Amino acid sequence: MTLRDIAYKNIKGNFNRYVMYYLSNTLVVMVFFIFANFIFNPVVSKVGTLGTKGVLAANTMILCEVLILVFTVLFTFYSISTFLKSREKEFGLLSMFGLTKGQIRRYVIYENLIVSTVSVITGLLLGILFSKLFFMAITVIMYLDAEVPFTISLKAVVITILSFIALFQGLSILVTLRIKNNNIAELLKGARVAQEPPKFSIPKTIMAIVFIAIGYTIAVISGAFIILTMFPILLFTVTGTYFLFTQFSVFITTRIKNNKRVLYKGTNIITLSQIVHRLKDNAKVLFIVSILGAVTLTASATVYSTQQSIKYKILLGNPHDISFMEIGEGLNDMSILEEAEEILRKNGHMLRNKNQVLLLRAKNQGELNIKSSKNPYRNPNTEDFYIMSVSDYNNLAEQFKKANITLAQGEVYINSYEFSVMGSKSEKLFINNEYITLGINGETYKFKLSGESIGGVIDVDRYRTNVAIINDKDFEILVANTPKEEQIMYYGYNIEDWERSTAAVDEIASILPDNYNIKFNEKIRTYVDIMQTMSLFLFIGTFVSILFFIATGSIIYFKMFNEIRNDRWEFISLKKIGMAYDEMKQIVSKQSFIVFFMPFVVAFTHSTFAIIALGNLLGDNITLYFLTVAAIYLLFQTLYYVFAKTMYLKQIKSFEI
Amino acid sequence: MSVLKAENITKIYGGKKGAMKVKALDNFSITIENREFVGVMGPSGSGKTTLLNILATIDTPSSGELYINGINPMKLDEKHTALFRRRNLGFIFQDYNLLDTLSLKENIILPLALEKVDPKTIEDKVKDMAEILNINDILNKKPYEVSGGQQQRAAIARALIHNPSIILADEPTGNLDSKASQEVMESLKSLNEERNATIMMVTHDPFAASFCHRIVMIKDGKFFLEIVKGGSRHAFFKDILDSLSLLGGNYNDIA
Ligand SMILES: Nc1ncnc2c1ncn2[C@@H]1O[C@H](COP(=O)(O)OP(=O)(O)OP(=O)(O)O)[C@@H](O)[C@H]1O
Ligand SMILES: [Mg+2]
Repeated sequence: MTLRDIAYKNIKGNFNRYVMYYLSNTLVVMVFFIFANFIFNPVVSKVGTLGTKGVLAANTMILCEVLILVFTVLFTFYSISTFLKSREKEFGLLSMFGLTKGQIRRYVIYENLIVSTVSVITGLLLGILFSKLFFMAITVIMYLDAEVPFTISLKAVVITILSFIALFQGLSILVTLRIKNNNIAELLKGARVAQEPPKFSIPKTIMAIVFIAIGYTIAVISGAFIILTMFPILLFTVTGTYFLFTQFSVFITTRIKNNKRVLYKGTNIITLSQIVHRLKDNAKVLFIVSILGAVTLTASATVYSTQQSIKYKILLGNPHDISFMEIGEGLNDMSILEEAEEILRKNGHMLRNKNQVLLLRAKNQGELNIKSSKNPYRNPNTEDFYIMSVSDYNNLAEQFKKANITLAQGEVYINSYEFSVMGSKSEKLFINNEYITLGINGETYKFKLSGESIGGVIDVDRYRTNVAIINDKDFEILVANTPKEEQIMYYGYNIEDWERSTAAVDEIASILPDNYNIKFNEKIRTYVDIMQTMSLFLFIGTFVSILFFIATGSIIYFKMFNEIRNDRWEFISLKKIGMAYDEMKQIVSKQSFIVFFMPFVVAFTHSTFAIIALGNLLGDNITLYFLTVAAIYLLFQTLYYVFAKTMYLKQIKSFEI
Repeated sequence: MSVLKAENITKIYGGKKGAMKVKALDNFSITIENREFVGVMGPSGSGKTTLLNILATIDTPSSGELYINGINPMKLDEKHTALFRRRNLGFIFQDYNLLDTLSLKENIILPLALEKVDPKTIEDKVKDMAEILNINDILNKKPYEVSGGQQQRAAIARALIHNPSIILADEPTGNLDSKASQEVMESLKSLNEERNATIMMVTHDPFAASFCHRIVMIKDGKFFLEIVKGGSRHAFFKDILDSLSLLGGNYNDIA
């Protein structure tokens, strides 16, 4: 029997131990291949044909590839080390039989070669299978300008195979270098020597709490300066988290253990004693999982909520899908309106609303008391206004399902709106003023402010974001005093299925008359563009998050399964002295619960503070989005926990006395 | 009433789909009275461990009846069997089976903790047990930090701390040298005499067996003969050696 035979037999016999390692590797290979296959697709590589977003997608995926590789290095290194550590006893036996260190190394390398080759092959096959699906998804999500034809790139196949075989083998050689067999007695004891009572240092335990507290405090009070304080915050929180798992967790469990009332109660005595060791042994993994979790949670919540708030913002500022403004009412050739309607009809978009509103222009003439804001990046326009009559407003308000208003003469109601880089929170601007003084056509008028709402009934533009609504009589007088050149006619359209009308809008934009007095405004192209880009980030982000998530979960699962092998006889002897299966179940449930959910709790708390800080910056309340993302995350985590626990218990149940 | 009564226990292994049938126990009966210290001996493969596992309720016989304190544990479900075992039986194993993550003390109190006995009582009992077994000084050490004999004495403390009706020991001295064996056997003897513990022990070692009140010999799963201690331990040791040579097998070379 050769070494290779032993290795092969060993894998067959230890299927359970390898299966998670194998599955995770397969998954990583699969995702890597799918991305690579997209990047090397002939259409994608011919950059121009896909449009800018295709290029963006391809670049993002290259970044992801690098990320996946870095992550695989960590994951594989960790898995192989744990795996080897759990098998020291086996190596001790092999050296007793006279195998040299070199032979044992070769044996491990064979073993790993078999597992990694199989996972690369299955990963590739699955990757090829799911590539088609992925291409379809990308095309749909991005409304890509050209359909990506499905091909299998030989280059992608070769790169995937070479990268992973090199990576797996390189790492396994590196790790096996750490196998020492100078002390067979130690090796034979295997994990038994590792069970030293874990120690903690008081200063580091205190540091864990203090550092995290400092990090959180800075995050909360930084406000808009978060860009400057971000790195100190990260430094404090990450260091604090590290100590939290390596020191504080041991400290707290040891403290609980010292309480006899708690310790001497049922299965606690075993749960607590084991969890102390388990926490210490797994501290680094739990730390990494928590940080990765926090990053994933924060990133997805941020992308998702940014998307949502930009969407909200665009819709708020543009109640109409398409609008025209004619400066100098009735003085211009407005045949463009009919042409636009014709184009829309030709493209199959029915008109839902068609509105026409007479507007005047005004400028602020008084001292305004503008509500100050925490955010220094804000710079709202509070000087320029359109004037509209209240009956026009109410007509449109009805159409857009907003509340009607009534205004006496001399009163004004303002629709304010503020452009901002990110979807910053909208605040009422003028509400602190009792009177607004407006200069209209050279004359100054003072109006009593009756109210303000954010967002109005006509599309805003860069020059004037605010609309002042006044009583019809006041409006008539003003119109009568304004020459036609200064009057503005606003034409607004809402169309069916506007999110898919980019082509029609492009066509309209291409035939706009060369007249400075006719202005065209639409929200469709910006909206679709932003939504697609964000969806792309979300899609790829979700993909990578899931990958991280499964891989980190696998690390925990993997560790649990290696430990269960070591604990096997403990469970057997517990069973012998009369521990019921229910009680063992309790122990296992509690332990796996802590191991699985402690990282989640830490990740969640970290992200909460990150989100609070980001909320300060974005000025928006993104709690709801964050909670949604966190809930999804929790759901997956729970599924994983249940799965791991079930497998674990199944294993325990199978132990014969 | 006897503490333990096993009647016509038969255990057949295998027999499914071509596997060779092995009759590990063949109509074996044994009765153990309160405060007795009984040894079970027999050649390798004669069915000693099988018998002990059945008495310990961790294995079920193919036929036969078992009563411990008048209760038939085979009639209980999994959970209640476990509870029954934990309350009525104490175990001592050849390889100690102490949990490495727990200190000796924590290992010892395990049966009481599982029963949620209050901490004060637990402390008193541990003290008492440690006194008898002379492991006071090492109570806070972990199993791998002490010798095999010390581990076994801790295991004995664990087996006895909840005052079980009977202690079942499978080759408790199997892994120990003669000095440690003697210490362990002395401990069992004093527990039997001073604490009225009822003990049944499987052993290969005639020296360990000489601490018992009576020895039941088993061969090929059947009752072979029984010898009862008459006079001194030394005389009993000689009796045991003689009977073992009758038993044949690998005992011949010891005698
Ligand atoms: N699980 C099993 N399946 C099949 N046969 C078994 C099983 N366990 C024991 N046997 C057989 O039953 C017989 C009695 O075994 P047992 O372990 O009870 O012997 P023992 O007296 O304890 O031997 P030793 O002194 O070597 O420990 C042996 O022939 C053995 O091969
Ligand atoms: Mg045996």
